[in-house]
Amino acid sequence: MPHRLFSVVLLAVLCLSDALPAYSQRTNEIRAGRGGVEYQKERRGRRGSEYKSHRYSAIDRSAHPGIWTLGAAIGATYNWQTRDAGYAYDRAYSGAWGAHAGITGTYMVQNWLSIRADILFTQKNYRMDRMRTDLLIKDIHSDYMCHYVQLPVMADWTFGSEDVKSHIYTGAYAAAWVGGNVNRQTIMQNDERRSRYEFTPEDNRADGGLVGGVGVSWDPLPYLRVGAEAMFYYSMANTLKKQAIMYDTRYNNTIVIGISTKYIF
Amino acid sequence: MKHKLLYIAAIALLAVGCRQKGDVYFDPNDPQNMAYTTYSEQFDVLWRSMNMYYMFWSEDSTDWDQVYYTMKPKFEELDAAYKADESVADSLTFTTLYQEATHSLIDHHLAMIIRDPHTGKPYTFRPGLDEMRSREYTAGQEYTTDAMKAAIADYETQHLLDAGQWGEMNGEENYFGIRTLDDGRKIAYLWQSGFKMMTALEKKDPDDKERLYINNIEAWRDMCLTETQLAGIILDNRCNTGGEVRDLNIVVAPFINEPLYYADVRYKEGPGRYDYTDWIPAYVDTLPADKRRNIEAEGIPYIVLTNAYTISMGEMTAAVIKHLPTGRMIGERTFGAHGRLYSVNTLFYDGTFGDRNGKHYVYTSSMQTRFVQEGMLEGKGITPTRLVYQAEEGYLGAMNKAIDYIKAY
Repeated sequence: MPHRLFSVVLLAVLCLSDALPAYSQRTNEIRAGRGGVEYQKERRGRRGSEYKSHRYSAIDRSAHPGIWTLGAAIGATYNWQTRDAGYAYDRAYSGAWGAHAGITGTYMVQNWLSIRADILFTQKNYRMDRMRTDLLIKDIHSDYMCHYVQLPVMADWTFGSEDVKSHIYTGAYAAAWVGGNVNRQTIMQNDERRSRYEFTPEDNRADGGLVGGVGVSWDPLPYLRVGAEAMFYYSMANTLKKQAIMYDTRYNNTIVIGISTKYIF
Repeated sequence: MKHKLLYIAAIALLAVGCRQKGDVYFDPNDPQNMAYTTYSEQFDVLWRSMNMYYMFWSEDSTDWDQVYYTMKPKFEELDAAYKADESVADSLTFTTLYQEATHSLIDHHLAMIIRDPHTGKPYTFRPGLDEMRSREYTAGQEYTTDAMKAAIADYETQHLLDAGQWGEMNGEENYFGIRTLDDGRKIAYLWQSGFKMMTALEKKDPDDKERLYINNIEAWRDMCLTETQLAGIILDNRCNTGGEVRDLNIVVAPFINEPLYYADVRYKEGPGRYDYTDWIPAYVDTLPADKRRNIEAEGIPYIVLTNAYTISMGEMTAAVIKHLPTGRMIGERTFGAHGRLYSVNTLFYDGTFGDRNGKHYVYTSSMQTRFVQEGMLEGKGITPTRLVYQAEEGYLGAMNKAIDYIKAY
């Protein structure tokens, strides 16, 4: 079960962060004693209160508990559905690429842990092909483009140096299915046609589940952080509502690969 | 432990099963699904099959989940009653329960043949027919081929028609007649019990009766296309139980000058109640110039007659002819069965299922039809331009109105 794997990873990260106090403590000591300034002085061999202040400030802004970041994220999605295909004589479901974009922000709780929250427009697309060979019309398919607004909240486990950091994200998300389109070619049409997806009373437009991922970030300027990340959204909400005795399961699985840029407050 | 809450959350996630397993792997046409032995098992199979194959969940006001919650305990009670006393088999309860479960379904093609699982005795349920019979204007009326044939004989007697010709093919009957007006102009009249026109014209080596059937179609069409003194056309679809959509090429195509977009259709592409395709436009294509007639330019009215037993293709042709420039629909509101039917479930994931000789067989639409001008009228029927009720004027009324209209046109 993927969510159990997810839990195992979360447990591993928790254990790891508890088992590695040296990194945290050393970093804290540096900050507590302003050892970072000394370190910079030794490495760079320069002095000067203005520079020291600036450099110290840079360290403080990017890795001190209490700082905020806010920025934009953009990227690509690859979504597929875990579904009971039923008596699929000739239907085959596969994943499809989409896009995502939105606002992302973090609040640093410890220098190794931030809370991250995003507001994202995310496409969770998929495709259905009819694998028939006995018809005149070939390539019968439906490309479903499903648009979601997502609100993930994650723990951002941070490792690395002051400027270059790696991140492990673990959390949960809530989402709303807000619209969609279908590009479809049917048995009775020779050409693909695009139409707006019409919601039905059976559609479950509320989505939610777990999210996890990895990322790297770099602070090229004291107030700027750029990053790249890969996330996996594991939906625990069926896109169809439950019926009296039949349960038609259609769960989304979404990989998001993207970049972000944030302002460090 | 610094991360006490997170540890608790992670362990809790391990313990919880977050995604449920689906259970729609169910093929209504799998013979194994007819291996049931009790009333409640039979109801389960029929409920599931209808849940997947019924085409009109988007339009139907029936709460199918509620039907299950309400009816399942009743079928279980019937099982218990049978265990206590086997004479319960074939009881009125069996038919009453299925009538209760299906009475509000709007697919007027729907016909369910359900056998008592213990005795094998078949019972037929036609909610659409029951609905039609419950309409105020149909009370006490006879809607049969025999009644229609008697009416046509009466038209001849009363000189509404000159003598005509009867034909028969594969259980279908037709009649072609001509009415000559006082001024010498003529009306082409055709009645059919169903639409098998293209099939008839393609038939090889017809016998004598079938030849008459084919001749009637050809004679009506030739007269409509070539008669210089043509005053009007009457297509009598009363008591016509429907047939092939391609017959639009005979009753409509010769009278249009450009392709006619008359309806949209859609079918299902998945097991869900709402796994519909888009609406797909349906057209009647034009014929070559030498095989069509511009009845609009010539001012020739085209009248289609209907009654409450005008079904399926009989209604579809009426809905199209009603909106032709010189078209007019006279008679009663039609039956209300507009879906198309195909026998290949593997193509459409909907429609008819079961085994005609097995424990159940359900005849139901494969496609929804939404008319361009009339909209979706499944279960309601097409309302004529001019309403003439048989309860008030018999079979004579609509025919008289049609001839009067042509005379005055």
